[in-house]
Amino acid sequence: MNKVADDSLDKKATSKAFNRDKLLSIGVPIVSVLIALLLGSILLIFIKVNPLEAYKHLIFANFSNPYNLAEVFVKATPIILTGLAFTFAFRTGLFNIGGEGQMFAGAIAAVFVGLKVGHLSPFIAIPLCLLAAILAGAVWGIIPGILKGVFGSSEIIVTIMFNYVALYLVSYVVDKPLREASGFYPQTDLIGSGAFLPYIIPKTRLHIGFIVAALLVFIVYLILWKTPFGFRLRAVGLNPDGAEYSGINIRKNIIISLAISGALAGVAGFTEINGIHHRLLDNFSRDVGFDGIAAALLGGASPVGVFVASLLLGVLKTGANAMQRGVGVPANIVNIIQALIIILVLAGNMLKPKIIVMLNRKERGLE
Amino acid sequence: MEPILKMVSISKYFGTFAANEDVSLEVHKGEIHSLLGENGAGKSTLMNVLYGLYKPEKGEILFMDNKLNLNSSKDAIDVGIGMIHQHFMLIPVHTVLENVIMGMGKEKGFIINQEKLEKEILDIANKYGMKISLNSKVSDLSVGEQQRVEIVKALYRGAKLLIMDEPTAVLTPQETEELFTTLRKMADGGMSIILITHKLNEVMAVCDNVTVLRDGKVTGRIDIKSTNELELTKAMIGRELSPVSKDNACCKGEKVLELKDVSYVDGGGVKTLKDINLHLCAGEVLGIAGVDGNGQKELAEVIAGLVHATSGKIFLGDQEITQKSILDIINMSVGYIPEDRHKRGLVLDFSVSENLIMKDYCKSPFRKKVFFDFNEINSHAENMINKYSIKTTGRNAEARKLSGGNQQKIVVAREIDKQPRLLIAVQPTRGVDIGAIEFIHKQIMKAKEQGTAILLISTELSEINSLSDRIAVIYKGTIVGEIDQSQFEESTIGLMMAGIPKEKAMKS
Repeated sequence: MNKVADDSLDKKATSKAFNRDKLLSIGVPIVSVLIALLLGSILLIFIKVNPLEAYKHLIFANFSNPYNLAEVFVKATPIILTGLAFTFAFRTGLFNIGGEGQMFAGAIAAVFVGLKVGHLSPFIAIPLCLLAAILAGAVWGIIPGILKGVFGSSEIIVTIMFNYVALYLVSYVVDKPLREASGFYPQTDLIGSGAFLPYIIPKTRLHIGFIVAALLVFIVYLILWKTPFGFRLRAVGLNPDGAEYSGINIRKNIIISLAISGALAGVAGFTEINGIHHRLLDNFSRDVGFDGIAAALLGGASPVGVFVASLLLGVLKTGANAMQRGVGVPANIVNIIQALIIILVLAGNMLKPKIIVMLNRKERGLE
Repeated sequence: MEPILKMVSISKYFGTFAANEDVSLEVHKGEIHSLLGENGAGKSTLMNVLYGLYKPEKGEILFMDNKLNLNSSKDAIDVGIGMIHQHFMLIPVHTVLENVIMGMGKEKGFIINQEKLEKEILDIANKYGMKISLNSKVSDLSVGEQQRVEIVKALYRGAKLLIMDEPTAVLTPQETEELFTTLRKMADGGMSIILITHKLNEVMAVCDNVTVLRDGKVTGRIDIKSTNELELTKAMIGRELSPVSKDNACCKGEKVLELKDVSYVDGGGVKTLKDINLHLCAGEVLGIAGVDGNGQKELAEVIAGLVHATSGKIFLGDQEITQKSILDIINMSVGYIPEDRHKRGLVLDFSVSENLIMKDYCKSPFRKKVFFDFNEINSHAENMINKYSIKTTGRNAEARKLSGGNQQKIVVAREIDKQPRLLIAVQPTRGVDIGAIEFIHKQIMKAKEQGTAILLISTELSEINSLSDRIAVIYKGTIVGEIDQSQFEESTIGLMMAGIPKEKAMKS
């Protein structure tokens, strides 16, 4: 057998298989979204709404004016960040379901600092708020990390439980220690305007938090794939035994990973407080942490995938309101569609090996 | 006598790559026929053709004088061809009985006639002297027992020809012995068996005839009685193996490794190492022989720092390393080829180039401040792939996609290329083909010449004998005795491996 020819053939076969892999990993989410919309339309028919009409509002309303378009990015911003948080831990073999709680922790810290230093120059106030949110999120992540690394407790359970601790901590904070001066609503006073995030486009709510999120997409990618530090984390995630054998300290890396993951979610608290609400209130931005997990699953747990998936979720969330106004469909129907997308993506990923086997069989000349 | 199976001029192409070219195979009734060849020689392709998983481009299959047109494995099973894969196809949570009858439609409605089926199955098992407990769960069985279940399963489906894919790869020597006895009985009872393997001693021990494949073509059709291992090797790899040359004289360097009364109690409270005393000099190979599971793994891990000795002391040169971390020990120039390359030696989802820097990713030249220097990493990878002839589609291919031998070459390249002071090699050639074994042995010998002290832990006596200067035998966590390679007698070592002290073993 000619060795050179053999090698080039091998390469050809592999690149074919490789392209197929890539095609499927992009194809599955797209097909899932389409099927979910189809299933959603059945639901709409049941409540006697023309699905085409409804979807027209759901999707195209976003592009009808600059405000709505900007709103897509506004909604996507915290989802990108919590999605990155989940992705970061996932790549190191951990399931951080606590993005929601870590975001709340970050928000509390950002408000606290914002109230204290908000009267100062934005160049001082904003970085301080960001730093506080990062630290608080990291603390909220490192505790489950330590429990996992040192005692081996499941990070899934602990991070879920920590969501509730943070949620009720927010309720307490806005009820007692930081309740607004007038004492009327359970919310804090507005933070100083020096800590407000500047808007990118005038007359919209799009603030520089989006740029922070986009930068972090790039930074997370660099850390995970271009540095020895990320190499270590990924090795632990993919094969802890192999990592240990290579002299990598598994416990330490688990703790570091969850701390960074928490910090990323903490930044979402910062963008929501300093960019949108400008104060802490009960039940703000509910479920953003879980939307982040959805975005990570949809985006194949890659930073760029998270970015794209978050924008898609942003479209759905903004469009939902337009749909409610336009055809009187409850905005919650979008949550159903979102859930369907997730189920379908997971199902698609389960089927992926089977699809590949099927294609291979075809190639072998059977059937 | 007319053969039961005739495969005539089978050709199977993948694209334009010929996995099988004009391959013919004849198997007679009551014969154990070996299909011999290295990994990638086309054995599996040929058997998959026979089992209906691939369709050949050319050629025909005659089975009991009928021309076969197979479209799936079900067709093959229906005509009486059974295959036992290397990885068993059993459902662990089901009982043996349930696994045997699975998918045959033997149940009437929802009811299984337990007694009748039990009797049928036990009749088959007893005929060939196989002990089998029908009501145990498969997950409770040993690997050897699971294999028996697979054989019974195939026989119960009326197999007249049994294909066995590397059946001994997962068995202990004793289980192998038992399997061969069973196979012999089955052959004497009229079954035909095709044994796929690349182990020559097995072929010589149990087979009647052998067909040798190389690069997808038949290179020999040989009667076992008229051949020897040398001839088979030649047919298999196309050349003679050059024996590993060894120079026993160079083993009097400085002392590199010393273990003093080292004991280790594992997590379950079992004392897996008991008062081990060993020493090892630069440029010397110390072989540790023993039956698998007698403390070899723990011995390697205690030295490499993966676990810490419960008592005793370990010295590297004049430094004590007993309680040092894995990383410290790596940085003291200790290489370690672990027993299980999938679990320890590699990160299978990492690329070849990433795996090659698993232990140096943090050091220069691969790192430039906080980032990797990918130019260095890539050229390092290319370099190693050429130097150690690692067959891969490229440095960015996942390690998972490589064959076992080439995966092992990655580990060997990474551990040996740095010319470590001490190399711990545990089963360095387990599950790799002859060509790779030869290559890895030569690399180990080269390291020895360059002054590396080598601790070779292996269950393959031939490997121990051909590489070691001294041989120590381990049994139940203690060193039974130590002998010079010049005194090597397989029978002596064999007795010592069963725990009989050196003096007694030498006498008998």
